Amino acid sequence: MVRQRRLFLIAVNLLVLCLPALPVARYLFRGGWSFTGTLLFVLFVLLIAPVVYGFTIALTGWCLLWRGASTARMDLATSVKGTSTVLPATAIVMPIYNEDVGRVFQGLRVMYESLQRAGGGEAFDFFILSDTSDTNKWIAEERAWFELCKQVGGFNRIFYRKRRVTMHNKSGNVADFCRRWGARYRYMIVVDADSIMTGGALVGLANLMEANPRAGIIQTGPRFVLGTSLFQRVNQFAQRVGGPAFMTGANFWQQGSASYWGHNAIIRLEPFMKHCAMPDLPDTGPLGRHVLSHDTVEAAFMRQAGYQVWVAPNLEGSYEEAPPHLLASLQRDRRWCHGNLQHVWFLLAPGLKRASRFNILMGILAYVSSPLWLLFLLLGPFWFGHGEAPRFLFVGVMCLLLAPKALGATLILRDPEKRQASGGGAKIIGSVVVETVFSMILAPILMLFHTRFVFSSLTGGRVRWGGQNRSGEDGPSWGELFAVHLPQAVFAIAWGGLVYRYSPAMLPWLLPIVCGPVLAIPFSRLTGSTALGQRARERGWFLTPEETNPPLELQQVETPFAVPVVPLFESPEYAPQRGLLQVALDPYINAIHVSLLQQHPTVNIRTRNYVMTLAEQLLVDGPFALGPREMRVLLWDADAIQLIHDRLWSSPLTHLHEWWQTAFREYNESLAIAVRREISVF
Amino acid sequence: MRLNGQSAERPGLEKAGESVIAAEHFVPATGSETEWNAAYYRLEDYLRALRVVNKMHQSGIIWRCLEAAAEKHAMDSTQSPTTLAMREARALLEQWFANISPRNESGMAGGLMSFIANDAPEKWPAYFLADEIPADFQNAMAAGRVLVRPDLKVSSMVPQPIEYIPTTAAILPPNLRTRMAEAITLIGLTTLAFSKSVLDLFRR
Repeated sequence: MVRQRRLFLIAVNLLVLCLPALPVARYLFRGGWSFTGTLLFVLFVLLIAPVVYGFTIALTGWCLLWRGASTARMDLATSVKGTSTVLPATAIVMPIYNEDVGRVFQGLRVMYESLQRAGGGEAFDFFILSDTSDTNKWIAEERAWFELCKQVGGFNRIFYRKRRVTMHNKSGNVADFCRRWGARYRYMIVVDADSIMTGGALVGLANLMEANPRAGIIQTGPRFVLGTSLFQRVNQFAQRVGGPAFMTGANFWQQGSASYWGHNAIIRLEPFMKHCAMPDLPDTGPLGRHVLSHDTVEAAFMRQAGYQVWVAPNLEGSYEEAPPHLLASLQRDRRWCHGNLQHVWFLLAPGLKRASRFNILMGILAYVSSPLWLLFLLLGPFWFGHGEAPRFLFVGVMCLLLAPKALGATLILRDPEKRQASGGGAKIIGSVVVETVFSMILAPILMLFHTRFVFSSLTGGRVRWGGQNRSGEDGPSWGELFAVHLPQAVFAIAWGGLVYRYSPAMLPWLLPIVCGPVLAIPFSRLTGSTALGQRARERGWFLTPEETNPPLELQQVETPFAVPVVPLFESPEYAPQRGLLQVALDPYINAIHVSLLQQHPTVNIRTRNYVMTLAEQLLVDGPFALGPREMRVLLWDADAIQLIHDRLWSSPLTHLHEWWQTAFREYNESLAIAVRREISVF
Repeated sequence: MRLNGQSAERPGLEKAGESVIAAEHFVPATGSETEWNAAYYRLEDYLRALRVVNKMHQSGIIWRCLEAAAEKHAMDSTQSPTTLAMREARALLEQWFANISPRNESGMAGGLMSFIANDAPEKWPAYFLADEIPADFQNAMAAGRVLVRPDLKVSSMVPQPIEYIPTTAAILPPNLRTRMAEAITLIGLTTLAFSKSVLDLFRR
């Protein structure tokens, strides 16, 4: 059945591919065979093939959804065989790295409470797996963990683990969890710092796994939500329009050979631990030794081990947030590009399934196609010169790109409930048109950036693993935008000028592509604007059902996560040492930190003496006497932190550095004022 | 241990009464008044930091610590009264947590965590460091032991051996070297021809 579906898909793809390829071939070889013509034709077919593939899966998905496809059609069993209703032990793991602490813990609270309402509380444990390098955020995470547990009664259900040695980024972080506690659980649900999954979705995933014992991974299709900037809102609208058809179509032919996107998915732990540990890459070449994008490879290993990887497109209640602006999106793309290029190593690795190789190839092409498109577009005008070919090419490619949007829109328009929830027919059509213009400006900008990223990766450019900017409030400044976009704007103007000089007939067809980078600076600024995003929302543009009728979980996640604070710890004067100050002064924060550290029993005497000397130095010479590395060493040592706390409280102030004397006095004064304020109301 | 008995209903006030007497009789043999005053303030600050804000109850604990510290100071006056008083307070706290939550293996840090996790400073303000505590407080401390992480269940997770480039004779066809040489020559010639064509294109 799956084989037939795939053969059918290949046939349809080839058929659709012929539509633009044959006329182009006729034009290119009008004067007989030529070598450059052949190369341009090969390049064209290579570039148009993924576009055709996108079109055919969107069309397949649209046909299925139009006829009312259900999960049952997707061959993923939806009910557990037998009568057992006991949910299996499942860990919900959230790897975090320098994230917005309030958002992370509010998200966890929402998921925890939703899970209690869904009746899955007893089977699920939560793990916050921190690799945070910012010491202030680290202490804030510990406090937030404790406060969350206290507020929701989640002690012994919600756990916080900070990794001492942050090897191999996210995949290493998850693997560390698996090695320590993986054997306690049958399944693991991986969520990102900006993920929200409802209790129903979490329980649903565990049930789907129980019902499908051959499934190794089931991936949900997380929807973009909570967008405030125009960039986020347009993206979440575009995903809402095009996403369902794409996912349904992809699922139709992929079946149990889908890919894994790294989050909002459930994983069967035993085979995952046995077969999916990430190997290092060969120690040659510019791409580095450690795999950055682990998810696609993990899915390939799971398939190789004989387990299936599914997408559950119909499972409701899985959400994530889109990057707030173009620069944040590019920052993420830089990492993904490098990660996907590293997958080249796995393309030929023996033993992988063909479908996995295809998924890997599509991931690589997502970025490599940019320099190829650029090459094609740079050479094309001079080769095509004039005539019907450019017009035909432009119209043909645009049809293939725009048809999925139009098809997706019809699915919303025909459903009265969805239509109303998306702002009504006129607003939906208008939003699709504006979103198309948005995509037309964005696509060439991305093409130039991705080209740069590909060359940077291939020439040994380093990729830093940074925390993601998920907040819409910190839009980029004009200065940043000029620094990032100006070289490409200049390049695009020069490109346009050259085409005008040597092949003026081509310029009208190339203008939409050249205009993108030229407009990049104002485009980036305007789309990153939260005010514009809100104004568009108020006027009914780019509305999604999650905005017009948000589920309880999405309403709750917007409430700020409250942690009681001593005012001194919020003072900007002490901001650089906020974390240290809290663990050193506050007995409870100190106790939480010391308890979470759990002193390593095998520390040798030399290390011990070094750490204790650092602790003495901190107290006598003040925090500025130590560098960030030394500060981290101290904060990692339970005995040292205990000693600092004891010495601060038991020494006469004159024995301490002036900075500590002031901080100590101000801490106690701020507490005394707070207590007096409380008492004075009676 | 007496549990919520008649005389322990308002232990804060009871201790406060004791503290007045203690204040009258607190005449340390060594140390200056300024030093003992500083020790008093330090203890007061520390108790406030522990959210023990009932003044009368605070005083009772402070006098207990000061009296014990004064005895130690009389024997060894090299340590400041502040240091000795705080040491007494910490020892008292450690002992108290050991008594009220004996299952807690992580010492005073674990005790403090359970204490604040149960909102004890707000729910049972008068029983902080009290010799006897009510049953509900006792039960909450016993049940509310904070498990910072579950017990380890260590597993192995090591990468499976992988050949990135199929180079072994078993996988590759025997004439692969020849094929690879052919492919490299072809790619080289193609690149050369392409470069020439591109140059021609611009010369046109």
